[in-house]
Amino acid sequence: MPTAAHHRGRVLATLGAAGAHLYLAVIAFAGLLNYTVPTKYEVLQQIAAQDAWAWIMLVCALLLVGSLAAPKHHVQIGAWHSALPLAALACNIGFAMLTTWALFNMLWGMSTARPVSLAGPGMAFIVALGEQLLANAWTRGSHTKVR
Amino acid sequence: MGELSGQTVGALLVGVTILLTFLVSQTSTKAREQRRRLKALAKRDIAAADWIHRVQVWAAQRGYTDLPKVPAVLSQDDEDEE
Repeated sequence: MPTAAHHRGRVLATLGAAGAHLYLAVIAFAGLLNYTVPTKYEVLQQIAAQDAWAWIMLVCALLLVGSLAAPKHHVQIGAWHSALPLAALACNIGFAMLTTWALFNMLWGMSTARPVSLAGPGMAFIVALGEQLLANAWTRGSHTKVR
Repeated sequence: MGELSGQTVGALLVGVTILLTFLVSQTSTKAREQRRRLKALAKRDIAAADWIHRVQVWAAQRGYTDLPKVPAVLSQDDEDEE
């Protein structure tokens, strides 16, 4: 049975995930997210150099925080009705963004001219996994409200 | 048709990967909730059948054998819906 403590825990965890996205956004805006070691795959360098990462992460952080205004609200746009609550959708989007960033970061890390630490993508994968579990937690029991 | 620049290829790769990962993530969350719902339904049906059986045994011990027929817990419509 969901309790106020469960709800508080989910809110705090969502804020934590938003903090991780915000941290990545800040270091991306500061220019610290660029890959410094060359790789033999040019496209990975191109992906890393995209300014979009900072904006993607910032939007994600804002989306996660914004979803807390009405976390259990089911979005309805025209005839389309979301089966998942807003907070779960935000967590799904956060998972997608973070996993994609970690995936390309890991590919770069494994193809660099000299060995580099994979701690960054490793941590990002763990946070992304947490976001997926959080999405499940926000969705838990939502079917009883819909039906 | 001109060649795509590295930036464009990179942006396309990132976009497609984000979209696919989001779809996988969302489907996984929905499937989990669906499994949870079915489990709750099965638990409810088993509990209902158990209580009906207890009532039938209790009644039979007292000689009441002409009890009304028990309605099906899951109707055909429910099964179609699943």
